[in-house]
Amino acid sequence: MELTFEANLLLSALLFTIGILGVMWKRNAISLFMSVELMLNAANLAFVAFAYELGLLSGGILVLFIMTVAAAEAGVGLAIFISLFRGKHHIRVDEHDSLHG
Amino acid sequence: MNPINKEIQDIVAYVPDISLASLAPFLILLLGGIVCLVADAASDKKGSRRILPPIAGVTLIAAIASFFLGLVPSRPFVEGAFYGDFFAQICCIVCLFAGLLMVILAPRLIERRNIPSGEFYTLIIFASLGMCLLAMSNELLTAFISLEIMSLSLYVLTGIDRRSGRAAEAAFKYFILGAFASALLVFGMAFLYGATQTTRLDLMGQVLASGYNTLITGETVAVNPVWIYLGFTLVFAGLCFKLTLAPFHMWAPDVYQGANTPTAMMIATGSKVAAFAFLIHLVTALSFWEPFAGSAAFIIGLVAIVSMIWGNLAALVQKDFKRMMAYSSVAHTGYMMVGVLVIVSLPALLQGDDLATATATVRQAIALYLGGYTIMNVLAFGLAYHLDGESNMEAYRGLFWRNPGAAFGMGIAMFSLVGIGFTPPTIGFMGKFYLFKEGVQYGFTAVVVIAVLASVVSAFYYLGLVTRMFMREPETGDGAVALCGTGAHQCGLFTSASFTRMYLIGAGILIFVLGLLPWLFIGVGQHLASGIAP
Amino acid sequence: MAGLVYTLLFLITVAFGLGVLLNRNTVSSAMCLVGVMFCIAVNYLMMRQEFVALIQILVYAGAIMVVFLFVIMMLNLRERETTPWYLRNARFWGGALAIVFFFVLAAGIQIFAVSGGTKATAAKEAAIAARETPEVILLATLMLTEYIAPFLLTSVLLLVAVIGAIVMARRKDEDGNEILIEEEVA
Repeated sequence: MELTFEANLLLSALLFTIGILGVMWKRNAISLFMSVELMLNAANLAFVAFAYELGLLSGGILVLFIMTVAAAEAGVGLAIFISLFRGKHHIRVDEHDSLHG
Repeated sequence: MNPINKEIQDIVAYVPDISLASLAPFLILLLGGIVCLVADAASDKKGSRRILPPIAGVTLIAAIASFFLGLVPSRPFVEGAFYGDFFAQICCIVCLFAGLLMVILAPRLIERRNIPSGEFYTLIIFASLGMCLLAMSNELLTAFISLEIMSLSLYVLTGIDRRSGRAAEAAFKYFILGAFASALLVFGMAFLYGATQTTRLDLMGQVLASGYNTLITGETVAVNPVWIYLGFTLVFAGLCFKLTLAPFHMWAPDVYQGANTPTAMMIATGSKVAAFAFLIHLVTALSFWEPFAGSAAFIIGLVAIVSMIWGNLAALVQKDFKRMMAYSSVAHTGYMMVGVLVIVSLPALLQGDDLATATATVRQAIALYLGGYTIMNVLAFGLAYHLDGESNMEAYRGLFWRNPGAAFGMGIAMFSLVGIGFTPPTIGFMGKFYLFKEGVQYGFTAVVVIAVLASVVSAFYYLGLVTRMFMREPETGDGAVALCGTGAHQCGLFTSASFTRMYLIGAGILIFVLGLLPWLFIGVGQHLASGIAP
Repeated sequence: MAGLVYTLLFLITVAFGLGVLLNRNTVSSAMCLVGVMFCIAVNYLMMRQEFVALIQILVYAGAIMVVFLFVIMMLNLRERETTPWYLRNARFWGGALAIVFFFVLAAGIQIFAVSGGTKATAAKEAAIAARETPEVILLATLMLTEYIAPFLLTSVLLLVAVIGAIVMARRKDEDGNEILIEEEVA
């Protein structure tokens, strides 16, 4: 296929869906968060695809900022995972349920 | 201004539209946060626990006061990134008040749980800053970054008590679901950007009203409906997490329960009000597009009804106070969605001046509800914080006989939260009254009827708490409320306990005052909007 | 020729993406994510956003994923995901729903896409080639004029992130005691 707008957007949608599947299926918190990063990458690709299609330059800027935000979020998130791991010695998502009831 | 082919001289000569005065509240908060951090680094543990609360409190009060100087303009400023209309300013002030209570409650928490105080106060200030920025955002990217500032601060505040396993788990769950919601939000923003060629909400409204973008690149491109629907759905899904709307509210009970109570209060009030303000801005911009009203109203109405029903039913069976309040906040956000429904459908029904006055009226009603909701929750959480075994509903048994003041305050909060029927003089009732009146006026009678029925159900668990407080339990002997004046708790004028008492009594009084005279609140808002800013 | 390259890129990106999803070893999953990021950077290059592609590689693949790998190895998460996915019902149905969502999205894109195919791309290439000022200068201008508010807010965000990460991850508190999770009071 050629480098077309549809193809780019299709790729973005595909990666986003794979990310959502990962968020639902993965039991390990870090794998889950990596799937969220995949979703963010897909969104970035969508931004640049739209910008290229419309002839705008702001898509690239938006991507820079979203990347920065993702980096900040990853920093805090991994710190939270580390903090929980030190106490409970595992970060499997479905086995933390001391808060129910 | 998208400089695809500009000359370098033109580029260098362009001066962006920023004035420091218009950013006054934000700058005050930023400065306060940095001062807190530096002050903490410069002093030892005891010293910082003493000097930081005043610094943080003064910062928040100064930020609130700076709004009344009329410096924040009512038009898009800072290159269209922010928009300071009265609704946004009121939401900002409400968030700052929530932050102020958290600062007042903080010393006791820090003392009990040995929490690092410098970072705690700094994060409170930054969380409030993020909420303020989100409430006033006019641009998708600014809103996203503000949302993340607020969220990251709240994630860390949830888990800041490193010695509590439940706090660590609450922070963990909050972070994972919040990150997922952010990713949905960003993907939705990509579609909205692609459809309208701009990220600014005011320009988006113009583009959607005319149906064609000739705005940015000079070419005529039709607005693609699929992108708008997709974009809005994804952005709304992301915001539903923050607003704890069903079916995305699952994190709220666990997080409210596991987090320390002051942080739970911030999440319940501030983050919701800020996200709601942004939703209103977004929906107002998108509603200029004719086909939007019908389909969006359907999704929003559906989510609202499910939230009201699910929230109230689930709250009935909770044994933990904070979980109950979490589900109650789910229900309340459902009620608030009636306002969003009205705003979505207004441009389709009215034109011109009628549209302007109607929009203003609905926004006033929503602002009143948000303000009232915050005051009620602040009172409830603030009182709950001071009970030993703070979350356990059993601790409320016979509270009236141990500490009548606290029981009275909690009773006021609970009555106000019910908000229907025999509770007219409270702001809970007034807020619902004005909001539901608008809803019925613009054709959403069915949703309003469901909301009223759901409120009737909610009376069971709110008033259930009240009756429990009046039960006789003479021998239990635990859980005295540690506010001033009771027994061994005599305290001086400027201690945290005395400020707490003043603040909570003030909140209780406000519930009645604003309930009897709701136009006071609106009058404050109008004064803000008609400020001297250029 | 360009078409062939792009097709390969598409397939490799999706393959890496599936690798992130289906890998049982967390480290392999992370490396596949790095692969996805590189492929997306190449995609940006093909769309003539050279600066963004560079930043993607430097920041995303080069910094964020490195932190991920540090944490994975620090927590020694080489464990395998043991339960097969088709035995967990709610996840299965959620996954099926996500796949349906993808098809809806793809159909929407096919039916409603705006572009005119290869002709439009050639016109854009010409416009980009005719640009006089370098792309980086244009990006910088945009960032400091139209997007200056996000620029300033990002600095606040990074400050918050640094404070948060340190508060959550440090081992010793102010008095020098080690921070441990204590027994919960019921």
